[in-house]
Amino acid sequence: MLDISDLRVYFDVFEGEARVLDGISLHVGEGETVALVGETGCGKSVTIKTVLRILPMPPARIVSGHIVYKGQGLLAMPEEALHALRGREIAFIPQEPMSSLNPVFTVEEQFTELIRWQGRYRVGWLERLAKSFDGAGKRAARERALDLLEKMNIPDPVRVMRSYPVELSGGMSQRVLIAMALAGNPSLLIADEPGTALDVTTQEQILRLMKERVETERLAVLYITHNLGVAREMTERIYVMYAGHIVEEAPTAELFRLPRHPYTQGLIASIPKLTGEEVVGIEGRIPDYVDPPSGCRFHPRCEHVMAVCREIKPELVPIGPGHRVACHLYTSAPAGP
Amino acid sequence: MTTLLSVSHLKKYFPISAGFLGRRVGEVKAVDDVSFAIPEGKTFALVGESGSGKTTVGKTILRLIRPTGGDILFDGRNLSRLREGELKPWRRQMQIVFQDPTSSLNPRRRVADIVATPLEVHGIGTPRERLGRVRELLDLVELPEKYLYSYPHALSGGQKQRVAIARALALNPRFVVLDEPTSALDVSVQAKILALLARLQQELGLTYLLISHDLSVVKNFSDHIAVMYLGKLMEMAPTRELFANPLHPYTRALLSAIPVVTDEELALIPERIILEGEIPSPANAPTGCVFHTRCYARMEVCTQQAPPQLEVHPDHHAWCHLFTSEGSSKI
Amino acid sequence: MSKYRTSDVKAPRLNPEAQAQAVALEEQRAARSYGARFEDLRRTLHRLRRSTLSLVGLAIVLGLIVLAIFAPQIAPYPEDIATVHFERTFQPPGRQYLFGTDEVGRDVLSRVIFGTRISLSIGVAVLAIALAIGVPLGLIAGYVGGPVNTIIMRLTDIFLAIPPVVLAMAVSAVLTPTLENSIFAIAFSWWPWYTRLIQGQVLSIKEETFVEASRSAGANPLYITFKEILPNVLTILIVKVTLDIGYAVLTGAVLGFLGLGVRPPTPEWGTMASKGRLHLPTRWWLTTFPGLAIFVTVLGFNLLGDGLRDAFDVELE
Repeated sequence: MLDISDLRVYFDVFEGEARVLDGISLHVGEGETVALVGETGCGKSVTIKTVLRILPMPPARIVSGHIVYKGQGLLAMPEEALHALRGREIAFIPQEPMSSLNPVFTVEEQFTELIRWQGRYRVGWLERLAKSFDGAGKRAARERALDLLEKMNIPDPVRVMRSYPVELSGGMSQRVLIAMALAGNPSLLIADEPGTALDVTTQEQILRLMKERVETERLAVLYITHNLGVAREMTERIYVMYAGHIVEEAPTAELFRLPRHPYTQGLIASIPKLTGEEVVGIEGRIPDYVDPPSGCRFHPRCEHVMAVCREIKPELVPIGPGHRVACHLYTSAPAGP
Repeated sequence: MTTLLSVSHLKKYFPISAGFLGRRVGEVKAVDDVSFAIPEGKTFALVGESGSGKTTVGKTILRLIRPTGGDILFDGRNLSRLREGELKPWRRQMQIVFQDPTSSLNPRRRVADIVATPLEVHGIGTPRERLGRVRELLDLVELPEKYLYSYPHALSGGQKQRVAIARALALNPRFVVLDEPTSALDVSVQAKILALLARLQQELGLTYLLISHDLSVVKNFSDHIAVMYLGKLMEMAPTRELFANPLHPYTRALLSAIPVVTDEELALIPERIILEGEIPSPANAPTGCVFHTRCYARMEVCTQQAPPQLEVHPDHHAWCHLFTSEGSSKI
Repeated sequence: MSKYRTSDVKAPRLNPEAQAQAVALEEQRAARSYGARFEDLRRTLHRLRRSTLSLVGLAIVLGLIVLAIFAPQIAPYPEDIATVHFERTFQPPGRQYLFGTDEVGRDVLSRVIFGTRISLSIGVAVLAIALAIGVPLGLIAGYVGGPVNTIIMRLTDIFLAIPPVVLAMAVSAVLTPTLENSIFAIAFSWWPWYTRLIQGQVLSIKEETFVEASRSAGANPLYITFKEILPNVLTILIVKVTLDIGYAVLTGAVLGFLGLGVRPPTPEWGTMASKGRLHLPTRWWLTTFPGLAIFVTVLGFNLLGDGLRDAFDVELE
């Protein structure tokens, strides 16, 4: 359904050219829930911003690659056609629930406006005027909004509709945003760090609810997250990203059972466990994108580094059913660590 | 083991003002009647979600905030009523590491100056001696010395937090408040910082108050845990005991919400409990037990009376009516 | 016991190669951050370079400074500042006298060049005084707060209620018209803007965690104000001062023009333009060239200030 291939996005910065995405390929199948996991600065947000074409250019620059959604190339699509797609077919749930609603309009104003004009790129003033007298249309939009809010388990949707965003709690804003994202009956949902801005008990509610909705609507979802626990709970398949490269792709259960890439292993070993296992962490820090390490970008931090790692960028190679890894340990030498 | 710090009946109420003249219309009970004691050389964790008052407790102990009531006994001396001027010698013994190293380091000062701040403030040593001490401290927190003259923006999140730790240790304190020391960091870095803090505790005999919302971190890092909700204590027990035998419904819900990554872990947490509703605003906390609006084991008495402190098992305290005579029939 | 026993804290498990590589990388990064102070400057210059207009501003300002310093060397008739030449009055601009000569035969170009000294010293001195008064008051008001803040800020408001030019005129009307007195008069109306700017900045910066960190180390308000807060308001000050020098020069010229500023024969642009006014429109060069000098100066500082504002990325009011 969504296919990204060999995407390269560079940024022109003061120090030179920052190669932030360096050949990203990923796909999301119909009705599939996928996570893109990585730490701060790995390029996961840039990836989705490129998909949604909301990346400021310049400084960003798409150097190569294709993004195909249901057979249509997104990168070359005219703004108008894209607009019809974005927000309807492809919905986006932003990270910060509190700052993603306009503070000077009530939820009702924002929500009904969204429902009535969704997917429209340019609207003439005449049409706008005509529609403002369309009472039936307004009522229909209101009904639809209330219905969507109700499906998000909002106890008093009428009150919420009348509220300004500041009057809502974080969890409530998040629910409203999810309801709004679902308003266009999307078939692909992109969620940026869902629930991480919320408290754990609230996050738990939201994630539960989202999972439920996704299942009933049969949505394809791409979650962007740094929280492996959340990814484990919400998805069927995971891509692990490091410094602008996808380093590993695996079905969720498999990834946690048998992580192959040294970075993935390090990441999982870094999480404090309730079982009280030793917590290791990874030496060093994420590299500089202007002057990234040659070959495999993880090699300066890798404990299994070999000569070849400095020379050649490893490609993703299949290693099991649905499991691919970009690491020379699995190409030159047959045995893993 | 001797007690280094004990807090009893600590209260901090923030006034709510309104209107043109800033009339006082009410108060937020950010911390309400909190008592605990921390033995020397141990780590005591305060756990809670936003609005629970855990950070306020930490800052009040350091007297960055003036308490409304209660006592703070540090090494036998009551700090709660000292004036700002009298606090200075005590500030040498207690320090804090903040959550976000980016905002806790002055962007316009260099690492050497930042770490030397406490020394300079207390007039310790000549500039040259201070520089020597800074080098020692950077070595202690495993930050390469060449960052001595860097500005914070040149450092990664983990390195910044190391600088903040070095600053906190400059005066050889005995007690350090760790206010969510790793929650702004990535997991791979978090592990390194936690390991560093553990090593420092061992080597320097430090006593920690760890403030956190992350139970997996707390489980691995603390000796004792207190769970807070809306300014009040809910449950307090040794770490192992709390995880093995959580009593309070809120603690159970918190534990069940921990995102886990292995099946072995999953086996350790209680069955999923999804709480209803959200945390009420601390400005209008519920009557009776503050948790009753979201509690799945709510009883009549909970809406009217705040539960007393009950020592349910030795050293395991809970503030919940389930364990009083009214509630005992229900379990 | 805590779970993180010392034994858990392993030495880095990197192999020697990787370790060497990591060290090299670290070196590289540190080398870059060593010159962090200069890096900030380089970054600023880099951004400045991208805007042609700010470069024009910079060139104008540098040019003015050179003119002011080397006025005796650059001016074709430096002696004309003090002497009169009745044999060559009212010469129109030409080869010999590029900007013409005035009613007593002095070379206008030379006087305009020397006027740079007067105008720039007014600009710089006014700002120096305004900073010396305004910044400490702003720091005190912002950090101490309470009644002290109220007193300082209400006083500031009173000054701000009167347009600066009017206030400066009123003050200089009372005083004898000398260079020092016009500087004083302008500075008198200038400092409240800095008090207000700094107070606002301090109010927001003092809520930052690093101030709290300093407080927990036992720092007193004086240390916090000067060591923690002041460095953070410097960039905004630099921008504001650059923009303001132009306006201070303009105000000085206005006072001169109205006869409240520096008295002739001091070659002050405003005074020159004012005296030349009597000979308009036929002897246009007497007013036009000093006027142009004022225009170019104000424009130069403005362009540079705007450029610096974008380069530092600060917001003014």
